[in-house]
Amino acid sequence: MENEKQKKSIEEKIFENIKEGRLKMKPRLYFTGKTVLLVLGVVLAAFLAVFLFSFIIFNLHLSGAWFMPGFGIGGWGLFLRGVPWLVLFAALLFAVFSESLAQKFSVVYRRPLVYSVIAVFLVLFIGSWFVSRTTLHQKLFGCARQNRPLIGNFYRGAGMMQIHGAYVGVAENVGKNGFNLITDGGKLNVAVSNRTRFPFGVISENDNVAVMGRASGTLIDAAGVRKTGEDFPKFRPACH
Amino acid sequence: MNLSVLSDENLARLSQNGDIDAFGELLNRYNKKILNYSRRFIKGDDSFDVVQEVFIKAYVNIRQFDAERRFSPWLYRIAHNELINAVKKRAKEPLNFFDPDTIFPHPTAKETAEDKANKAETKKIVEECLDKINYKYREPLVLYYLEEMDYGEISDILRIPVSTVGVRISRGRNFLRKSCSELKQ
Repeated sequence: MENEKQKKSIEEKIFENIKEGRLKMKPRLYFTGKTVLLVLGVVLAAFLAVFLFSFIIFNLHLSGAWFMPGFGIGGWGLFLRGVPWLVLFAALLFAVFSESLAQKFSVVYRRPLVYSVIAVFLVLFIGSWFVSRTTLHQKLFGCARQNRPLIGNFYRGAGMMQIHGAYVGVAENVGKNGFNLITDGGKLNVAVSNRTRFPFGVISENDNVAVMGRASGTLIDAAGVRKTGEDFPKFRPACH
Repeated sequence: MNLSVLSDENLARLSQNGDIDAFGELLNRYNKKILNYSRRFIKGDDSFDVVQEVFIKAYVNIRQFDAERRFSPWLYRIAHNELINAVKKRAKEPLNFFDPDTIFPHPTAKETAEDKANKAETKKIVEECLDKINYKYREPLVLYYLEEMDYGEISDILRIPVSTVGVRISRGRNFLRKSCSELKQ
C-alpha cells in the first residue's frame, strides 16, 4: 500500500512539474548538435594525432635518427634519442581521446576494446604514412624558417634538433678514404676506415646518405654509412 | 485515443510531439519495473528517488530516443546511470571503472540455446540469491533473467562489449549457483 502511494506521488510530482513548466523537453536540435560535436571531436582528435605522428616521422628523417637502426644497437640508441617524446606523448593522448569519444557509438562499444585500439593505430600509421608522402611538413618547416608565428616555434624546434652522432645529406667527392657530406647546415668531411660499416652496400656520388659517427668540428669519423633514398634538399621551400 | 493499446515506441513518438498523456502511459507501464530494478541495488526509500530521477530524465531527453528502436533498453540505460550515481553516493562497495574483460573477445561468451533453455531455472536462483554477488555481475543477471533483455540490449544499457555481457552472465550465474547451494546447506 505504501508502495502504491509512493508510486502515485512520483507520477503526480512529474506531471505537476511538466504542467507548471519546470520540466521541459530538450529540443531535437540539442541532440543532433551533440552528435555532430562528438563526431567532430573524434575526427579532430584523430587528425591531430595523425598530424603529430607524421611530424615525428618527418622530424626523425630531418635529424637522421630514422636511418640509424640500420647500424645495429648503437644506431637504435641514436634513434631513441632522436624521438621527440613529448610530441609522441601528445599524439598518443589525442589518439586515446579520439578513441574514448568514439566509445559513445554502439558500433565501437559493442565490440571488445582491442578492436578499436587496433583501428586507432591503423588510422595513425596509415594516416601518418599518407601525410608523410605529401610536402606538408616540408612546407611548414620552410615557413618556420621565415619566422612565422605559432607553427614557426613548433617547427624551429624540429629543425634545430641535432642528434650528435647522426648526419644526413648528399655525398660528394666519394673516394676510398671518405667523402664530403652536404647537409642542410653546411659541408662536413666524412672519414671512412676499415671499421666503417656499409650495411646496405657502398655509396656513390650524389647519393642521399646517412652517417653514424663521432664528429670533431666538421670532420666525422664514420662508424656506419648507408643510402637513404630520400631527397633532403626539399626542406627549404619558401612559405606562401 | 486508447493509449493502452499502443506500443511503447509509438507512445514515445507521441510524447516527443508533446503528448503528456502518452508519456503518462509509459510512466504507468514502467514505474513498477524500474522500481523493482532499482531495488535490486538500493534498499528503502532511496529507490523511489532513483525512479523519480529516471522518469524526469526520460521526459527531458525523450527527443533523443530513436523510435525505430526498442524503448525499454533506452529507459533502462537511464536507470543504469542513475543507479550508478546513487550507489556511488552510498558506496560500501567500490565500482570498478576499468574491467579487463572488456579488452578482448571471449569465445565462450555468446548467447546459446542452452542458456535460453535453462533460463527459467536460473531465473529462480537469481531471484533468491542476488544479494550475494557484487554489482558487476548483478546488473547483467537482472537484465537478462528478470527483465528479459538480450545480450545486445544489455550491451547498449551497460555500454560494454556484447562478449563481455556473456562473460559476466556466465560468471555471475556460476557464482550464484555456488552461493545459493552453500546457503541452502
